[in-house]
Amino acid sequence: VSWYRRRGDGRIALAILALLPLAISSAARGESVPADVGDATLRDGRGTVVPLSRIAADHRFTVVVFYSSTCPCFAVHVARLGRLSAELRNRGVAFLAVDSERHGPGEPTPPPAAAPGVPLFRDDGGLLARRLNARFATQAFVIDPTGQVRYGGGLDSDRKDLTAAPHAYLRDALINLLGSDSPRYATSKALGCALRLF
Amino acid sequence: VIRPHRMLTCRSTSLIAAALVTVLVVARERSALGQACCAGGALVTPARLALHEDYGVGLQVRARSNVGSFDTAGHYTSSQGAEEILEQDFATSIRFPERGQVSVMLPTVQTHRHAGALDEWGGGVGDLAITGRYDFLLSSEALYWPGIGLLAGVTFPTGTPPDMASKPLSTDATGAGTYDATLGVSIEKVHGNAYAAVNGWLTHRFTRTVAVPGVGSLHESFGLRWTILAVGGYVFQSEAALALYVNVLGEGDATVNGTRDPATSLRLTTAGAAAVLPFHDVWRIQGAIFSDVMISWFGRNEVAGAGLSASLIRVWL
Repeated sequence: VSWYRRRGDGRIALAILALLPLAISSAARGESVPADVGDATLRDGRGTVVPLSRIAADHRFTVVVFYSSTCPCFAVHVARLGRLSAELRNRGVAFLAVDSERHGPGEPTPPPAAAPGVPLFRDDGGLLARRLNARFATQAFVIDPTGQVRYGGGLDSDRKDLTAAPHAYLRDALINLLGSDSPRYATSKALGCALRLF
Repeated sequence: VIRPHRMLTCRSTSLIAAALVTVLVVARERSALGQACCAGGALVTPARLALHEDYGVGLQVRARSNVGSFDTAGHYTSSQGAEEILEQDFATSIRFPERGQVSVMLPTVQTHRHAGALDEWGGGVGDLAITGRYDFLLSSEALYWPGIGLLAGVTFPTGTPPDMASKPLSTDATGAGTYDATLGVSIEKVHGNAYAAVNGWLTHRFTRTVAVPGVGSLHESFGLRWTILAVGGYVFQSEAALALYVNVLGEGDATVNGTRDPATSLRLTTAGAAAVLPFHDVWRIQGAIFSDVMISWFGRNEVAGAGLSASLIRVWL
């Protein structure tokens, strides 16, 4: 009897093992995109507070990329981000990096730019990050001139080890939008470090 | 939830070599200022998914050699015979929901014992374990607050308990013979390149009935088991990591046929070093070397030994 009981336990356990992938849905690949940037403001390197909506109104599209000075995933994407900025700057796309993290005493002062052509702004209190539900460094949002968020997600499909042909989610979204189309992917998964917002 | 190294080891030169290679490669990693982003948690729990990892599968080999034991008073004595245990674990993990993850681990266990003129090998499938964790706050999300997580687990008695073993030295015993349920808390912090964690959990082992020839059935229930695991380590910019850890477990008195037996409580203290080396974002190898603290008082009613483990894990982002 105990042999059968043990065999039965094993079958139950194996059934759970087999059904687990079916019972549990996979983690979502992307995030829901918030509606707009509202009245969020940023502080530039000279200390001037600027409404993000004003920056957005001056460009066809504005890309906000969340920054972390200590995240290796952001560091390896600096060159790619700079190249993308250079490629699309003349088509009316502005790139800005946003530092929303809390900083401890003794941490170095952030640089004026996160990448070539990508100035770094300060998001005091992490208010913009919270409004956009941004939680990871390298997470990017594309904002149209009315302040509407048109894309939210990763720069590409790479995390820390760059590959030769990643899925360039942000670039693809911008190309679609510049061609007056909706982005094929309005969301994607951002693969950077968790932002230190608390 | 961490399964401490209760199963023991066989001295395998290839495993030792693999662990040494891991340690040497990690030691050569260039240190740099940077955030210990995501890899620290995998140091002592190879199947644990790091940030952004949605699925993972892994194989772990653990080998251990028992060289002594602690008696009921906690005195340590070297053993006359030999016991080596080689365990292979297949583990799979899935993230659900975003801050939670569930892992399933199925071990197979081979045991070698030598006593007097008897030299015996045996083994089979061990106890299947399903574990989970939910991180309310990640270790790097706050400037000062540590990451806080809830741990839970269930073990199914899919292995063969010692009383059901058929070989003379019970080398075909591969499980504890009871269901158990675990609940615990994880506190961990990443600051710069430093990683520290303290995990504590309680395990309730359910009552089991043992058929003893000539005696009849014995109803055995167990005291509450507590475990504390403390880890301190360093995570390199490459996300390779090194750590030292200490694991302490204790268990209250068991009750047999309604009578509490004061000579059955358990205690065991284990210390070790672990390393993890990720590559191409989706693979990592992990290794550990460990030893029970073979000094009286650090154990009670437990065998003591030392061993090592090595794991290969594939994850999907």
